[in-house]
Amino acid sequence: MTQAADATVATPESGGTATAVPTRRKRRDGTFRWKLILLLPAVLVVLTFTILPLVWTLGASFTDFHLFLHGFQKNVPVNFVGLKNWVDVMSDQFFWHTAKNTIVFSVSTVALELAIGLGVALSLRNVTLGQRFFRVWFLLPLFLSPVAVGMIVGRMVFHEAVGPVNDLLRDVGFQGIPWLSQAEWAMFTLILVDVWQNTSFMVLLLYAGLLSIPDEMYEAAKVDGASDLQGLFKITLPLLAPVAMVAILIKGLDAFKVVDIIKVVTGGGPGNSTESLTLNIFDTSVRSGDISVGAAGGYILLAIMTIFVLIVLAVSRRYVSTLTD
Amino acid sequence: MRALFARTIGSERNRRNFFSWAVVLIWTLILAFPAYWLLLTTFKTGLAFTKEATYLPWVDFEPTLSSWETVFVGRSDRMMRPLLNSTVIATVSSAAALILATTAGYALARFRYNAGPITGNNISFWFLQQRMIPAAILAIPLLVGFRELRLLDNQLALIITYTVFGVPFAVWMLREFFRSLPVEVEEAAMIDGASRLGVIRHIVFPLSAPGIVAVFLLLFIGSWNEYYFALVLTFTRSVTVPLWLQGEIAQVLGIQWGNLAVIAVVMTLPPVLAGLVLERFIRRGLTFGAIKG
Repeated sequence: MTQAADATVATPESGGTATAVPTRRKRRDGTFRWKLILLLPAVLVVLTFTILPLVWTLGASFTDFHLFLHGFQKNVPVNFVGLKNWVDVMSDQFFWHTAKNTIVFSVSTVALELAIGLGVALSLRNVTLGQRFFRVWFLLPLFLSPVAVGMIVGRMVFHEAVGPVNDLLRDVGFQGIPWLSQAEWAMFTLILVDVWQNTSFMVLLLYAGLLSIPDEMYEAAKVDGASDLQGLFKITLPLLAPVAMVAILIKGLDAFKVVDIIKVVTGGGPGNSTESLTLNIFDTSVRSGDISVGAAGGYILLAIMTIFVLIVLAVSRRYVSTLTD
Repeated sequence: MRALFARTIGSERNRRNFFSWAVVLIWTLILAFPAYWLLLTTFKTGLAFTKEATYLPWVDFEPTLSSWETVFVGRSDRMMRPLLNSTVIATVSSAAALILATTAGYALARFRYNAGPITGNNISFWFLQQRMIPAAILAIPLLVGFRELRLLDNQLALIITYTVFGVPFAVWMLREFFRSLPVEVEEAAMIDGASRLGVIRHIVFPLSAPGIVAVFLLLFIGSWNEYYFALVLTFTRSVTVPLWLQGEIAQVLGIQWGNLAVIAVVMTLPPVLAGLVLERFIRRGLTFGAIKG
């Protein structure tokens, strides 16, 4: 609706400062009509299927809407219950347990992926032979389905009885590690699976960032007698920081929504030790049909993600000098 | 030997190169091993997988094609349905999202929108922000709504969903792409009397074909791999490959690893091929925020 209002007061194409004359010109060449016709379908579709559901879910979180009751019988009235669902969710120990899992998973994966990705990207710059091949190879995991990655890495490579990792450990005299059957290890395994797939994203972005640093800066530093290590800490890392912040933001937001690899690798178990927020909300709202409680949970997840974004933005504003936009 | 060693890693530069090669090669192997293990498993019989870890065909186990045969000949209809569903859903939804996003992306790149706080930049950023909203929130009303419309477990429900959630990111990417194209050609054609539609058809489309192809591939990969909405909105008839595969693995007993490995190979081929095509575009700088998680 706001978009329609926007388009009606549209100003001319390029650099016009006067308002009355261009308005007439705009009408004549039909630009105004095209502005609406081209933009509105996409805006309307997103409004209908994203903003409307957002509002609907928010509304539902203040009611007692239940899928198996109100979804099936039209004559049962939906009651307004105020903040009851929110209070229930907030005081639910299990909800915070899954929230903790989600945060542990997100922070660990992003930190590990950033560290490994930085190492690989920096190394890749020094490798002159076959660089093209490595770049393609390092990109490929990103295109795989997390379900497939979870199955191949999480369930087959880390298989406790016949997986190659435990097999090698036993060959060199250790005991096999309970990768999936013990709570502490299961979360670690999930993190490793995610690192296997998503470190590539960090490599992609950080390597692009490295290429954008002009060689002259290093040459100038060398003339001034700086060592390689000084170059790394005084030139490379500070100039890479803005890209790193963007990468942290994108990857972190994805990690907070994790559900697919957990469903495949551990199923949330053993027990409920690796259940994520999204999985918890799915069980509550879809499997048990408790739409209204799940809705409140979903919004708390969004709130946690917003806090994460604010923290990253605050850190980058404080420490990253060249962050634009 | 010692002299050679000293010569190779003697200087700071050589030491750095040696270290870099080591990191790159180790990471290459870490990424390669699961792929090798997957391929290997497709040639193992059920027994060869469950007894002990074996690494080399013919050396420590006898490779067979029985898993491939089971999947493609024996139980083909069971796995063909998810495969067909995924193909139809991913193709149609990507095409639909592409049409919506190309027009909007073009409009945002070429026209100036200005109504108080609602500027072209803000609209674009608004599109980008949609990426952040958790599927856990959006799936709830979609479940209720599609149930009302009797579209649950129907391909159409997922087609609509993937189209809608592909649009924002595609708009953002295509706008960036259109902005990188010179506007002068279009202006010249307009002065020569071409209509807006003529300009779009004869100038914009040919020039932007690479970008449009790239975005289509990214949309396709995203839809092909999507899991959560499929989990909420489909059950049996319209399940996609990721959902079906997850269901098979979730069984407690009797997981047919060989067969599942074959399916995983089949499932990863389309996005990997698309990715290999995409790599050319990514190398040309079409990248940030591009990969859907």
